[in-house]
This record gives sequence, structure tokens and C-alpha cells, in this order.
Amino acid sequence: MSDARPAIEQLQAAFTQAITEVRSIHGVPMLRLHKQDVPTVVHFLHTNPSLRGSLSLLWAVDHRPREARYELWYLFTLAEHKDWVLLVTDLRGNEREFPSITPALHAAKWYEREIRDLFGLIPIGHPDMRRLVRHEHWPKASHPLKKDFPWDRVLERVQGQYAFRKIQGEGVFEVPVGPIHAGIIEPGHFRFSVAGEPIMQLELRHFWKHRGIEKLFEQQQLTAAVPLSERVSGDTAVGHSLAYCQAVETLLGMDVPRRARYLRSLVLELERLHNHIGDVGAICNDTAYALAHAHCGRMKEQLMQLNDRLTGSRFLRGVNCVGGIAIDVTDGQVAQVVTELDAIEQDFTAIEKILFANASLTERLENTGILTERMAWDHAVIGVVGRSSGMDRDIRRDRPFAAYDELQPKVVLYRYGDVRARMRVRLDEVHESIRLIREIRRRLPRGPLRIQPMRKPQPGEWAISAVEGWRGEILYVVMAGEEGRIHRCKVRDPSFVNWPAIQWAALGNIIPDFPLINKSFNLSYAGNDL
Amino acid sequence: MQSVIQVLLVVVQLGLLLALSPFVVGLIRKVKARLQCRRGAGLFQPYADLAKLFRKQPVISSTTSWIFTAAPYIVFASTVAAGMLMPVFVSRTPLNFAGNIIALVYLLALGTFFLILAGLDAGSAFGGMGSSREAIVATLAEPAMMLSILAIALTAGSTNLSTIVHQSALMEGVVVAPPAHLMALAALFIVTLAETGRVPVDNPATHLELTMIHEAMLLEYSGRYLALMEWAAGIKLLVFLTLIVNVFAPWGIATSLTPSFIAVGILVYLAKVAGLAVVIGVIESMFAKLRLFRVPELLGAAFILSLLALVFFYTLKG
Repeated sequence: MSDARPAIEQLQAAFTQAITEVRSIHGVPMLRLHKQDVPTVVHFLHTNPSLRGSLSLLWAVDHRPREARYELWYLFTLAEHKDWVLLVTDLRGNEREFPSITPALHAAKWYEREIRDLFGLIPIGHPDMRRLVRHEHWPKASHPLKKDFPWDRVLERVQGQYAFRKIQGEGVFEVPVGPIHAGIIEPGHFRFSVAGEPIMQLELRHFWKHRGIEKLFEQQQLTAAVPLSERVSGDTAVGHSLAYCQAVETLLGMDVPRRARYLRSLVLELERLHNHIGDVGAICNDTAYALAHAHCGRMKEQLMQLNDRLTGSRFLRGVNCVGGIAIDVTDGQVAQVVTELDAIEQDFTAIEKILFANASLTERLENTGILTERMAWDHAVIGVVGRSSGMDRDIRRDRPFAAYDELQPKVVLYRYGDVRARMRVRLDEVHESIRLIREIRRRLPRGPLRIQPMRKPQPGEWAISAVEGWRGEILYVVMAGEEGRIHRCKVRDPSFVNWPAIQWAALGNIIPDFPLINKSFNLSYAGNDL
Repeated sequence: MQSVIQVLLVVVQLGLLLALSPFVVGLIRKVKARLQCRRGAGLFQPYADLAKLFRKQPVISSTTSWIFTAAPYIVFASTVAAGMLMPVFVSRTPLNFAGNIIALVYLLALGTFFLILAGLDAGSAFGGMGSSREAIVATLAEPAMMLSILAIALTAGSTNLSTIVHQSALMEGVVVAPPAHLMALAALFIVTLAETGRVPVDNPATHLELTMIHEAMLLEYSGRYLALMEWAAGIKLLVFLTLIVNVFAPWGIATSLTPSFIAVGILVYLAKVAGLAVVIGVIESMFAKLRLFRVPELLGAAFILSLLALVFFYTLKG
């Protein structure tokens, strides 16, 4: 990470009129703009060859009751050194409209629809104004993240219909799948337009179980919301709670002790391990190669039992806490973890050999569901899926957190973007995670496990935190409210970014290959639908 | 006396087909489970499943026509009838006068046809997909199956299955061209995997509707209709296994109707079918399912193999 000063200077030089304020908050440079200038600046930031900014997050804040003002925040990651640049604009008084940046930037399309649904702010010029989160049965003018919407309001149901995109022609059929499935899967609706078996169009319709997570955060104290963050996406308890804790720790001026940072890296890698190994097995199972699935399932279970013995939770819940880590482990326990991982790695390597030697499996995985590098860039795809399509991004390296500044993880990168690449990223990351855990054991320092808050944040103060969870980059923005409460907490699971990309990866494939493509993405429905 | 024995043989053959077929399904599942280091369900689980389904109340979509409720009976009956034309444990099966190998193939095709109709009848997207895929598989599998059996029929000089099996079992020298025999066997084996919905053509264990072939057509069925369909699928599997073991390895089959021959015939038959079921279980564990558009290539290969078997038969015969 270097500092983004040259980029800021370049932007200032290009837009002297548009930029009204330049500041740096917790090390993140922030430019305030007039709202009508946002699309031009965004277009410049995205397309300028020396900047190549990719949209990482777009969120809104309702500043009531302190001020009658909405703010829109645009977080960009620059291509060169992965620096962050923040753009801010505001809507004052009764303004409800803002210019959409989606025509300039694909990656903004779901964010802007989400803001429209949850805040009632209207992205003027957005090419797709259908509802995203707020399904048609929600009544008129119910925008739950507005401050005047009570968190416990029960909504009545109204009638309405979602207009799916239609492809018409001789022999074109629509195949609706879900939201209720034959297997134990979260709810998601997929609508295919097919001519025979090839997919001409796939449209997703998710957000069936809006839980109001972000609204619930706003009812909590800064220090008390860790359990809520662990439940955003059940399989990513560590990733989410760590991202939340880090944001709060920045606000409370806490410098987490070194031992706690190492243990945080340890549990994050354990979470990555059991999920990646489970995914490899699940991908094989979708090609009916049940042998690999059974063995990966066995190893995943071993890992989850290991988690349980180490922390008292198979899903590693209750490990992270604000200021450090809630559990301690002895040197003997860590040594035990490494011994078990050695055995699992041996088994896993054997399975890997079998997988690579199986031509019938390779035939299924290769060239299936290709997400090109260009597609991945346009949709700002991140995480495992991004790294399979040549997106060289990993928060552990780019903005080191926990103990990763000292551990120096190697980033796995493939370019083919097919199902096989997505499986290979996982295979390689399993070995890398085990290497990191060995490294953690070697270096694990002694010392305190957690510290107390050093200061009280001002209302309106905010912090951003990023964690490379096993799926990809998890972002949390926490804004402090009155008396240690949360005013706004924006949660961004990588699934929210990667889901739209699957619509493009599936094009031209045949319908029976879709479950395999979907499994190779393995995105969270819950993390997507807050 | 002779006719009493004949009737008895018919009854025993019918009972064997009905009673043994769930066991074969259970055995394949067990082999797969053991290869995956699982204990797996008991060998008799499919019997319990059928019993449960027969007791359950069926739910029938209001958009269906009479085809939907008639299809399970037609599929079941045609499959059982096909099984009755075939020598199972005695080489001269009593009902062989009723039809030859061509009748058997078309009895099975009749079942497939009604299965396809039933898949379409409920009007669900998955049923339609399953039917269209089954139609492709069935159309391509049928010629390969016909040709491979014809190659053997030529050696025996008859299309009557009993004659073929009886002659092969009696005469050592009937296998005039072993390569032709092996090719026909390979072709029929591929056809068996395709027609009975096994890996690598279909995955009988999947819950993914989008990938299904056979299961997709059954998605709307429940209760006794589903039980009949499942049972018929099991019998069809057994019919194919029986065809393979008796046409290509008829040794041990009862060539005369003495009690000792019949007893040996039944035991040898059970052993051979179980062995073949284990082979299928192992193959299912070794391979991933083919991409759907590769299935025609596989069946094309089966067709070529059976065609070559025919050519070899003529050329090697001298």
C-alpha cells in the first residue's frame, strides 16, 4: 500500500470546479463533490489509464435527526497499488434524486437499486429501475433504512409483479428455478431463457429474505454488535465479525495486541480451509463425481471438529471481540492444530492427484462458465471468482490486516475464468492457508489478548474496514451515533458484487452445466440479502 | 405335467424380476457408498422405500391429463412384459414364443415413450427438459442396442433370445469371433448405462433439477405412482443386466428343466447379476457425468462398436 496522493492531485487538477473539499480520514483520502459532477468524475476515475479505479462500495447515509441530509459515498480501489479513494456527495433538504453512475460503470448497478429501495433516493438515468431488495409485496414508501422508519414495523403485503426481461422467438422457453429448491439451498430465483439447452439469458431474482441486518445494527451499541455481524452469512462468521471489529476498533482508537492479531489470522485461515475444501468436494459432486465429494466432506468435518475443540464453535463463532480476541489457545493446542493440518494436507494432496488424473472430471470443468477478464473487470468481481479471472486482488496483501503484514500471504491467480480455474484457486489457497497457519505457529507472540477502548467517537465519525474472507473482500463501514450507538453500518459481503457476474458467466453454456457454474461461484444468499 | 412346469417357471421368473430388482438398486448404492467410505443404507432400503411410497397418498397436479395417471401402469407393465420374453435362469423361457429380441426392444421403447409423455404432461419446465433429453438418449441408444444384439443373433442364426442363449450355452464353438463378441458387449454395456440413467449419462443421486434426465420426468410423481415408476426403473435395470449376462456369458444357465439344473441356474444367475451390479457401482464412482452434449458422442461410439461387431462377424467368420 502506498499513498494515493498523486491520484488525488490528478483528480484535483482535472476537476478544480467540481471538488469542494479534500480530506483524509483514518488514512483514506476523501473528495467531496457536487452531485451533478459525480458521473463525470467517476467516469474519469474508472477509465483514466493511470488510475483505473474500480468501484468497491457505494452506500448512502441518512443523517437525520442531526441534519436533514443524505450522503452518498463512493469507494474506489485504484488499480496500481490498490489505494482507496472516497468520493462523497450530499442531498440536502428535500432532494431525493441523484445522477446515476451506472451508465458509466456497470459495477454500480445493484448498489444504486439497493439505495433506491432502502432509502427512497432515486438514481436518475439508471437503466434498470426495477426493484431489487424491496420486492413487489412491500407497500408503497417503505424504505427501511430511512431514519423515520421504525425498526420493528411489520409491513402489510400488497400485490405486485416483477417484470422479468423477456426473450421471445420460436423455440425460446423460459425455465424458472427456485426460490424453493429440491436440495438444501438458500432461496434464490433463477430465470433462464433457453433455446433447446443453450442459455440465451439468465436473470437472477434474489433478496427473498430481507432480515433488516443494517437496520438492526443501528439499534446496537458499537461494542455489542459482534454477534449480529457473525450472523450476516453463517459460513463466514470470522470474516464478518473481524471486519466489524476492525471498523469499531478504529473508531474507539484501539490498537489490537499482536497476539490477538495472530490468533485472528489463525481463525480466519481455519474458516477459509473448511469452506474451500467443502467447495472443492461440492464442485465434484455436481459432476456426479461423488468420490471426491465424500472425501472432501470427511476432511471438512475433521476441520470443523478441530474448530470446535479449539474455540468451542464449529463455525468459529464468538471468537472475535471488539479490542482483540475472546478466547486464548495454548501453544500445545496450536501445535496440535498444525499436526492435524499436516495429516489433512496429506490426504488433500492425494485427492488433488486423483482429481487432476480424472479426465472425465477435467472435461466437465474446463471451458465451463467462463467469466472473461474483461467481464470480471467491468463488474468489479472480487475474491476467489475474481482471482480465477485474472483480478489480482487480495486484501491480505493489498491492505494487510490482522497479522498479514508479517505473514505475507502469496496470492493465487488464474486467468482462464472457467470452473476449473475457480477450483484451482481453491486448491492452491488451501495449501497456502495451511502454510500460513504453520507460519503463525512459528511466530505466535505472547502478550495480552484484548484491550479496552481508548476514546469515545464523535457522532458522525466513521471508519471503513476490509477483510479478505474465504469468498473474498468483506467491507464494513461503521458510523458512530449518539452515546456509543451505531448510526449506520454498511455491510458488504463479496456475494453482493459477484452475483450479477454469474449471469454473464452462464451465457452460451447449456442448462445442465449451470448448477456446476453456480457451485464454482458458491455465493452466499444471506450475505447478499441483508 | 410339462405345462404345469411351464406355468411354474413363468411364475418364478416373474417373481424373481419383481423381487430382485430393488435389491440390485440397493446393491449398486451400497457399493458406491462403500467406495466413498460411507456405510450407506442397508441393502434392503429400496424395498422399504417402495413399501412406504405405496402407502402414501399420491398428489396429482390439476393440470395433468389421463396420461399422467396411466403412464406408471403402462411403464411398469411394458417393462415387466419385456422381462418375461427373456431367458433369465432357464435358457428356454416359456414365453419366448410371444416375441423375439425386436419385441423386447420395442416393449422397452413403449415404456420410455409413455415416460416421456408423462414428463411433458404435468407442464413443468423440468419435466419438459427431462423428456426432451430422454428422447435424445433413447433415440440414439436404440440402434446401438439393436445392432449389438443382432451381431450375436447372427452367430446363433435366430433373433429369438431363447435360441440365442440356448445355443451359446450349449455349444462351445458358438463364439466364432471373440473380438466381435467383445465389441457387441461393450456397446450393450454403454447402452445399459444410458437407458437405465446411470453415470456417466445421468446421475440417479442428484437433487439438481437442471441436470436431471430420468429423475426430471418423475419430479411430479408421488405415492404409488412414483413407487411404480421407481420399481419399473429397477426392473428395467435388471432386464438389461440379465440381457448382458445371459447373451454374453450364458454359462451355467439351466439348459434343461431338471431341478438340479434349475437350482444351479438360479444361483449362477444371481451371482452374475450381483457381479455386474458391483461393476456398475464401481464405474459410477470412477467417472464424472458427461456433459449433456457429449452423451450423443458416447452413444455414437456404442453404435460404431456394434456396427464393427457385425462387420467383424462376417469378415472373421471367413
